[in-house]
Amino acid sequence: MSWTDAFALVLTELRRRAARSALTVAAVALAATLLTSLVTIATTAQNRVLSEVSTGGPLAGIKVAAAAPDPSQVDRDDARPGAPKPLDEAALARIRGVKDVKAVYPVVAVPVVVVGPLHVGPGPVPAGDESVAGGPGDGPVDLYGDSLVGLPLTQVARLPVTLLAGRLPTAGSLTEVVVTPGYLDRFHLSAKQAPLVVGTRVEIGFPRGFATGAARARWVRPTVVGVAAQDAGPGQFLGSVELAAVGRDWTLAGGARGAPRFGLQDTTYTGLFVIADRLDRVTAVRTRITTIGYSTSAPENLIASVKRYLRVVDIVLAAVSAIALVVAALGIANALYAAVRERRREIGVLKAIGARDRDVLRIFVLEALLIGAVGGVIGAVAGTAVAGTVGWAVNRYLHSQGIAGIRLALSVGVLAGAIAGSTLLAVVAGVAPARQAARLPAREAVAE
Amino acid sequence: MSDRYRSVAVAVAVAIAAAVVLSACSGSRSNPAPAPQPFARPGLYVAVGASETIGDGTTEPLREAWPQLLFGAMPLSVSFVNLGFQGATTADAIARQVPVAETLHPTVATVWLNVNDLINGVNAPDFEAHLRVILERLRAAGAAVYVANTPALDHLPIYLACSQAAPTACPAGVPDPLPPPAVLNRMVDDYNAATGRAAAASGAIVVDLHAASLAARADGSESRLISNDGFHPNAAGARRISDTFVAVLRATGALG
Repeated sequence: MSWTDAFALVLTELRRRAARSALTVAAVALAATLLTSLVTIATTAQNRVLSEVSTGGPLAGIKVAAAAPDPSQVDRDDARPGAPKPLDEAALARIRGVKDVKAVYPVVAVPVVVVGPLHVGPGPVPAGDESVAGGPGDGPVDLYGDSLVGLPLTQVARLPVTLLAGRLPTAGSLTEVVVTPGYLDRFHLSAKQAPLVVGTRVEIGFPRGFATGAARARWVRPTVVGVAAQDAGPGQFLGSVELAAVGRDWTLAGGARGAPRFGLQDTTYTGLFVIADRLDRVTAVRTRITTIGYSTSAPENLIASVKRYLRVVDIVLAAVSAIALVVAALGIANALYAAVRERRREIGVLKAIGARDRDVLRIFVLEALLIGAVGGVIGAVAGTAVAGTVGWAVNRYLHSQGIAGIRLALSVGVLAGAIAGSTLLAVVAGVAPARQAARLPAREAVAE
Repeated sequence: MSDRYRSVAVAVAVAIAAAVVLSACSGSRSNPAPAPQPFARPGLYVAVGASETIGDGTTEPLREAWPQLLFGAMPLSVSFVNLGFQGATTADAIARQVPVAETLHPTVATVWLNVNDLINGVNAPDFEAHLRVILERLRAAGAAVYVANTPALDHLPIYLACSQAAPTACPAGVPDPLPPPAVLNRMVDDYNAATGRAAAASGAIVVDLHAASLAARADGSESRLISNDGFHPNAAGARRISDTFVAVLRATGALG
């Protein structure tokens, strides 16, 4: 009997017992749905948790400070920086050349004076004042000191920055900044109200001291284009390295009377963000940077702990999925055993007209394979839909809280695995009843 | 060469020579300020001046000082440094403010230095010489320079209070005796003429605060523009001053 004939017989049988076939396929589909959705959701959640732990940046990220190292820093996530030490182009090049370093990104953090906006939040904007800073005031000036952190914005995807609202500044921009949740706190805005500050302007001054003892600021009026959580450096404002460099050069021009007075070290870069080739190379890279002579910190111990707990979750989810698949396999076996009993006469007729044992085996294995494959495909699609629905619901909640949403970790591998796994399991479950059917003597089967 | 062609050649030569002479003469008469270009790239605005430049008289100098308001009218790509300090004269500015401004190579600079010179008895020729140094050095640093002349001072509350036979509300530091109004106005006119000459010689542009102050007097708003100290502009006065500067910068194309 050819495979084509066997396939035609299987289709005829499945159509004849459509209800039972549909139930069996549904059982397989449910198991595949559970497997696909659980794996997708678990992977998405895992990625998000680890991303949060490393505050948006790559897991193998290391922060380097413009300071001498703490001798015990490699064993600790947070190091205690030693005496200030300039971090210049030569040091950056040296660190970039360290073994197992994938990339190095400069950070420039500068002190700023902030003239707080007149009006932030819901309600009418003062007449004639299109920006929230500037214009005649009807209240006291909120003047405070903080910092602007300058980052290479073309590489922000690799930096510890998580966008919460709006967008990031254009690379190299001198007129755009992003503010942090700390800025929202200052004006008593919740995370949900973050979009209210997007599009407003803020007046920022880079301070400088003069020989006379007076201080003068170099003022800029950037537009707030977004809100982001960041861990690249302390400060409520995030902007381009170019903007921070304007401030750094102005403040440092004050000489001995300038920079130290405002807490700015005479250094080209106030820090670096280094990415190691792999997470398991972070310790080695930190050791080498310590040898060069700079302070480092990295959440490697925290990430390792979190990954251990996530592994436990993976094991539990795998067990749940396995149970579901076993239940589905038992259903297939049960259905096929029932089919063998009901089709004994048919099997006898087939053998009487010349079908061999392996032809009968082929029919029942093919039936199991078809049930498994169809159930697997339906389950993979349904599982993706379930994961998508869960993702939509989660994003809706996160956005309502003013938190960045998640990106579903859809994987072709998972889908293919669900289909292949369901098919294989169905075949395995169908082998025993298929062999039983194949061994039925023709005379005995026809006689019943 | 025939007579006809010779006469044509002579006429052409004379015309060319006349054009050359005329262009040379026009160059020596004045140095007109080139039209400041709009901020085509990130620019810097520097304010040189005294107490009114840093916002004395306003409630919130960081928001209400007239240079801060002028800065607010500029493109977002512009940054701003206020080098003014209290009591600054033109001599002080040459010593302390101009050297810093030169290192910054500002795109636009405003200069308002006159009243303290007047109070300190600097005569008009010396004032003009100092002012010209300031303006020329700022122009040499690459800035489009806008220089304010002296507003009318004879109706200032502090002047009126201190001019009385027995002044009761006259703070310390005010010259005694004060010149009578006619003399004061003549001194202001001399300063303003000096400002005009210094601006013309250096390519700076005059912002006529004197005319603006007289306009405020004519429309009855003058008294509402002075702070409680009777001398400095208050927030409304700073806004009027800023508006005057904005109008001139806009007219000369500096604001795009």
